[in-house]
Amino acid sequence: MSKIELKEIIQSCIQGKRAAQNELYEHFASKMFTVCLRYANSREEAKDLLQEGFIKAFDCLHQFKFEGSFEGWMKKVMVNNALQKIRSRSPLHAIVPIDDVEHAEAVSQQEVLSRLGTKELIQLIQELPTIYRLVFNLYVFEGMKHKEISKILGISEGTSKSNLHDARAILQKKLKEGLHLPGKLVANE
Amino acid sequence: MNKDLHDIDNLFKQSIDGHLEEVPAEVWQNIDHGLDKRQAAFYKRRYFTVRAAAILLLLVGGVTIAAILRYHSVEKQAGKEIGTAKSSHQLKMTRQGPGEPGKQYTVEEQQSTAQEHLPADKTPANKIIVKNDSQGQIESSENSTYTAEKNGEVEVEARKSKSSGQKDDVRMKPIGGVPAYEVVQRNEVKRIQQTGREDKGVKQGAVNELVRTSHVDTQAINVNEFRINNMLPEVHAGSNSVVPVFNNVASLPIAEKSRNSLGSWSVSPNYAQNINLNRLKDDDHFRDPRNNSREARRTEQETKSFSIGVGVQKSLAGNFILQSGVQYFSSQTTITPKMIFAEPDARGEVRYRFNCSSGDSYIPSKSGVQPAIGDSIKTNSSESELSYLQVPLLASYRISVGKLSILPSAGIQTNFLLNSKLKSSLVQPSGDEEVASSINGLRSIYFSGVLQPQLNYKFSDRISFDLTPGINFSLTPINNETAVKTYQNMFSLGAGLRIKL
Repeated sequence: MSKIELKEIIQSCIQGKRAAQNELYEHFASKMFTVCLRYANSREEAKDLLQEGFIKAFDCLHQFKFEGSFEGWMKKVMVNNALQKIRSRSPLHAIVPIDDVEHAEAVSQQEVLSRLGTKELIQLIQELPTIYRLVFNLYVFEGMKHKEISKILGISEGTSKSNLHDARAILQKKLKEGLHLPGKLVANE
Repeated sequence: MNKDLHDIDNLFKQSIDGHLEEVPAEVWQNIDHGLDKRQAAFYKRRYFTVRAAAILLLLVGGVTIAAILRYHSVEKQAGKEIGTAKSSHQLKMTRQGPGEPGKQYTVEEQQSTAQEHLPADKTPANKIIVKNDSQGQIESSENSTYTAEKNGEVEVEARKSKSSGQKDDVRMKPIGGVPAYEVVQRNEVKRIQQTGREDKGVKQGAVNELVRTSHVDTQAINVNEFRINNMLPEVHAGSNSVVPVFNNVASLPIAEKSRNSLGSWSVSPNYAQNINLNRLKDDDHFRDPRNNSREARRTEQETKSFSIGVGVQKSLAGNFILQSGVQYFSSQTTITPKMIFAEPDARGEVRYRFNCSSGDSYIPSKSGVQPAIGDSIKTNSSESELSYLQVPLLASYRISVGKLSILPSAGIQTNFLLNSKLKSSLVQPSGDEEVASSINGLRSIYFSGVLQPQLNYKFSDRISFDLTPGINFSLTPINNETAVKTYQNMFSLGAGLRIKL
């Protein structure tokens, strides 16, 4: 879809034309669903997030100034919606004992990629405790710093760092369990 | 940091970023449905004000039409009563008639009797149509029945002679295209004066009345105005015109009657000072760790409110009264200094979010620096302001003790949100920055119950003083989809003047 086409579609969406809204949805739904899957703890919740996110996006589409990437703007709306929804639903407290995951052994990244598909990786993220999942997503996928994350989630910077560390450790452990390999994930050099 | 852990980051990012996940078909169906609902809600909100205004207009219009219809029905009733004995008390030109009480006189007899009492050179311009019976009934030749108050007293009616052609018969003088009764009056006066002179039994009062009538005679009278003001039947050119003799006198009781028709209505400009006793309740569905009822109670110190408006009262059967009106209500709540954080609003724009019991407000920063998510800033003392248009509907029962009345009243009140504003000042390194923003999450309309033991002291028949202590309690919260639900309860003390229409 060219930039001009996208602009026309967005303008039609602003006018409330359902066909244009459907076209925009069809174009971005798959990418945005992946974003929602990362933040949700299940596929069902991801569907709800996607649905609400799109409705919000259509609602405030007139605010898009056609200056940056529309996909980036859309993703931001999805992430904000997911954070708002998750925060209002459950308290953000970590409950996983860290000691259990400290000493997971390294496994080969190549091996992981050859054996595990994207869906399985997403599922691993979904299985993380809420606070870990949010910190991991914001740090790794949205590229935020701990200072920003701490403010968004209402936690301290230290907690954010600690949560990220724990999230990684849990994922590492789960990867190993998933692969049934006796090794630690190592750098794919 | 451990390098292995960084590799985990890359592993996930590279694998998941850009991945396209198939979306179940029902998602779009739900979005489609959701958009329909939002569109409907949008139109509902958009036309709510119009609808509310239309309903109010219909109500006001309906009441006005009802009042006018009632006024006219009373007018008609009063018009009929002019001809009755009770009204003829004011209308009558009493003289001791030449005939005997109880005797029936024909028109011709009466004409001849009248002529007998007049000087030879004076010919009565109008027929005198009198039938005086023992029941005090006076009957005109056109079968209009009038009831005399006393036997032997007759009512005289000016009537255009059918055998006109006489010069000083009833004449119609056009004024602005509308004929007047100028001459009719003069003829009538003249004739009665003549009769009075002839009849020694005439009362002095009657003569005085005649003099007044003759004064009216000198003025041009617009037919329609005259007829309407005096509740006279419509006159058609060429037909017999019936004009009561003492129209100026006759109008008096009718005017009183008209006023009485509105006597059941009264208006009362009033003012009330309120003490707010708001009830706050947490809504778990919108739970927010930074926004809850406990926090709101801690930070919100004092709420001042007042209302000013005009009440309308309508007396019903018995001692029941229906009350309504329109009031402007305003309340201000002071909020202590606190720390607020930047959050994305529903549109994804990052702004400082200020929570209060009324709702939340996203504060725009004038400094030009766009806050990042999670940024915090301190505020000085803030103030939230709400204003409503209130339309109460109360039923009251009047218990009178001399000039003092107690009116226990109960009813409901519809509150239409007019404006909401949060005024705050942000503590910036460059100095305090005053900001104002609207409050989100407020309902555009909410309902409340009203209990008022009104006290009313009567100064005169028309003016009385109202002292109105009352309790106003929200039946529905003032806000919607907020972490804290606020029920606006208050104790009020109002005062006003009640003017009877």
